[in-house]
Parts: sequence; C-alpha cells; structure tokens
Amino acid sequence: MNILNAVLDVLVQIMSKPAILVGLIAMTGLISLKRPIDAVVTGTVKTIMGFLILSGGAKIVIDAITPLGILMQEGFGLQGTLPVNEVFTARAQELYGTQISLVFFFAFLVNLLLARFTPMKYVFLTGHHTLFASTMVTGILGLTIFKNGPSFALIAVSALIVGFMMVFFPWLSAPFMEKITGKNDFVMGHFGTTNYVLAGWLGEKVGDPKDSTENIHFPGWFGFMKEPLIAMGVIMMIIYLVAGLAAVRVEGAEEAGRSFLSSDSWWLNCLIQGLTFGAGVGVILLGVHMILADIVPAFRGFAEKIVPDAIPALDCPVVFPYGQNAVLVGYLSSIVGGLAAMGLQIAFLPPGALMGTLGGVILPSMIIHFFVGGTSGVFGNATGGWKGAVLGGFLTGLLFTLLAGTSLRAISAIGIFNSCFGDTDFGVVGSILAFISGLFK
Amino acid sequence: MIKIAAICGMGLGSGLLVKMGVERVLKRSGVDEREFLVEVGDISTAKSMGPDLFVTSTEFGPRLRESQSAPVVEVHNLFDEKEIEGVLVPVFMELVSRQKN
Repeated sequence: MNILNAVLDVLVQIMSKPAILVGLIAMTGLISLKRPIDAVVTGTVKTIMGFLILSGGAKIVIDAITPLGILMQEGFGLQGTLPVNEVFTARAQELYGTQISLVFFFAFLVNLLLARFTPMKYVFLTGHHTLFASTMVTGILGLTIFKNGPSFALIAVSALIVGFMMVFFPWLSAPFMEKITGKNDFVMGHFGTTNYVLAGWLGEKVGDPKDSTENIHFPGWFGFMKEPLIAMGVIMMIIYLVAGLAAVRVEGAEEAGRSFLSSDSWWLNCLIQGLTFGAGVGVILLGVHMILADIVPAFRGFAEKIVPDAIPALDCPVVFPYGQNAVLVGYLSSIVGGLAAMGLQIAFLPPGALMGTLGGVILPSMIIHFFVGGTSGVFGNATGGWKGAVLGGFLTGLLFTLLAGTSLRAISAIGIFNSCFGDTDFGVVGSILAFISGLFK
Repeated sequence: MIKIAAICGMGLGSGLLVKMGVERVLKRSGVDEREFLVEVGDISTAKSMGPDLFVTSTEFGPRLRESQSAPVVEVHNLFDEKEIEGVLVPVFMELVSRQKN
C-alpha cells in the first residue's frame, strides 16, 4: 500500500510539471511514429528543455518591460500594454501549466473527432496557435466559471472550445483560400481569421483584383521590416525612447533614470531595454519552436491515420508567396489602423485612470501587425486588389487593438498584468468567454 | 550527415511545415534518416546556424543568399511536397556525393 502511494505521489508530482507532461506527449507521438530510440530520447528532452527556455525568456521580457510601465506612468500618466501572445503564454504557464498542457493535447483529439464526423474536415497544424488558444480559454474559464470546480471539467470544456476553434476558423477561411491559391489543398490555420475573412469579403466590395498590389514596386531597404523580430526590437526601442523623453520632461533626467535598475543614463537604458525586450521574445520563440518541433509532426502523422481525407489548416505565411507586396501593404496599413485604435483608446480614457470605456491602451505589437496584417493584405488583394489590401490591413490593426484593449480587463483578472493576447480570433473568443463567464459569476 | 535549416520569418509554423516536407521527401527518396538533420530557424538568426543547406520560401531566399555561402533552396508553395522534391533532391544528392569524396 505504501509503495502504491509512493508511486502515485511521484506520478502526481511529474504530472504537475507541464514541461515534463508535454515532453511525455512528444515521447508518445515519437514512439507511435516508430522513430528510432535516439530520436525519441532527443525529441523528448528537447521538448522539455524548450519549455524551460520559454519560461526563461518570459523572465527576460518581463524585466525589460517593467521600467517602461513606470516611464509611461510618469511621462503620460497612462499605462500601455503590449499584446504579445508569447509573453502572455509564458506567464500563464506558471499559473495553469498542467491544465493548459492537457487542454493542448485533448483539443487536438477533439479536432480529429470533429474532422472525422462533421463536414468541417480540417486538421489544425499550427501548434503555437493551439497552445495560445489553450492558454487563453483555460486561463479565462479557470478563473471564472470553473474557479472552484474540478480540474477535469475545466480541461474537458476548454478542450471542446479550442477543438471547435481548430475546425471552425479554417472552415470560414476555405472559400477565400481557394481564391488566393487557386486550389483547395490547404486552408488557413491561424487565429486571425476573423480579419482575413473580413478583408476578403470587403475587398470584393471596394476594389478589383486586377489592380493587384503585385504591380507596385517597393524600394529594397524595406526588407528589414520583413524580419519581425528585428522590427519588434527597433519599434520597442523607439517606444522606450519616447516614453523616456516624456518622463524626463515631467520629472527630470535623474528621477526618470531611477525607473531602471541600472545606474546608466536614461537614454542608454531605453536603448538597451527596448532591444532586450526583442531579445527576450527571441528566446521565447526558440523555446516554442523546440516544444513544437516533434509534437506537430507526430500529431500530423497520427491525424493522417484517423482522418485520411482531412485538409490541413496551416500557418498564415503559407499565403505570403501569393502576394508578397500585399503582405507589406497589409502590414503597413495595419500599423496605421493600430495607431488609430490606440488614439481612440487614449481619447476615451478618463484622466488618471488605467482603463476607459474602450479598456486599456494597447501599444503596437509588430509581430501581430506583420503576420495578421500581412495575411489580411493577401486576402484583401485577392478579392479587391490594392484597395482591398489597404482596407484589410487597416481593419486588422483597428480591430485587434480594440479587442485587446477591451479584453484586457478580463485578462488582468487572471492575474497577468502588462500583457494580453493579440490575434483577432483570440480577442473575439476571449470577449465572448469573458461575457459568458460574467453572467455565470 | 547533411545539416538542413528550414527558415521562415519567426521559426515557428511555416518553418515547421518546410521541415516536415523536407523530412518526408528525403525519406521517400530513399535517404536514410541518419544521413540528414532538419532544424527550424527564423530569418534573423538563420545566419548563425551554419547548415550545409537552407530551405526557405521565395520571400526570404534573396535575403539569405546575400550573406550565405551554403546553397539556398527556395520553395513557392511551402506545403507542396512535389515542389520541394523537385528543387531539393538534386541539390541534396550533390551535397552527399561531395561529402563522400
């Protein structure tokens, strides 16, 4: 009996560490694909280490962003939040790691069942977005409806919702994907689909696909904007310098410098912390890609056995080759839309308050502008040429920034401050969940 | 052993697609699993990976070529295994024969 208890105790301890849990999921997948033993060992350890790297990166990012909050408070009297999924996920893992990992796994099974038995025959292969969706749904439900309920109910309901998202959004994108690629080999598996569909649908009304963005010639130096991580670091540095300058104007250089833990001058700190933020996101990304490198191929191999006729739902850059200029047009117009939304959020903010009618103030996140804005550009271009791309991109920035602002309240209730989700579908589903859970409270 | 780097913007979803495509294509062409290794990377850190061969989208091909001596294989449709096979296998086989000599 004692031995049994001891074994159980060890099992429970192992299961409570999400890193090990996800490692075990990867190991199961690798074994089921009959990979050689060294590949199984490497894959399992790599997945676990990826998880640990993810939390390490989160610490770097959080340390780098904390002084910015103080500077913005001093300089502008407001708090700005950056919607970066990676950061949010890394932080939520500390609170709900085990549940999120299990939801991640079971959502995939729900996806397979739905693909097998409903007309939405899609298998969602964008692992990092499944992880983000699992984090958001589990986080919001865990702190509201299922706060005192059993863990298994939370996991079951969250997995059902995420699994449904994994076929529903690809299904929405299907008619437009056929217009873009000319085939129906694959659909969109990326949670910015609300905007993609909006861009495709409105594009048809405002323009003509014959006025394509691909006839425009862009100067070569624009290339650096296509490296999202670099663009992110540079923009963060600029935001930091602007906030720093404002704080110096209000409180003087010495007081502003005290916001940092280092004795260097304020502007040097702004430069370094801005770039450190970008560097930290790079570390988190390394972790995420180590986690997924073996799980996604295993999922795919498994899916092909269960639902042989399924259509894969893939990450958004698969459409980039179908409109390389459209990506840039959508990206730039999304930044404009995001800045417009930020202006609205500030305008609706009562003096001195952190949240107004439109929620919190959302700073521009280049990663989302690039990927969701760029993809909306491709969708808009396919149905409405450059006009469609501009409109699609603009609406992306506007919509995701506004949704991130309003859902910020629910997100801070989870106990995670200074970060929230970005991509539009997370905002849409998150708002619905926050609304429902408010009724149940 | 040939080290292959699958490169995309962030080193996440689409890089992983390329990795899966490359692995499947090479296995189907009868290459032993132990003869190659595919790693996913993002465009910003790609330069430090030092692989024998890059596989990437047409979007990033020119940027990689600027600073790289290793061959760069470009794919238009990241999910099209036939396309990957057509452009990758000849370059891969040449690398293998060069490594053996």
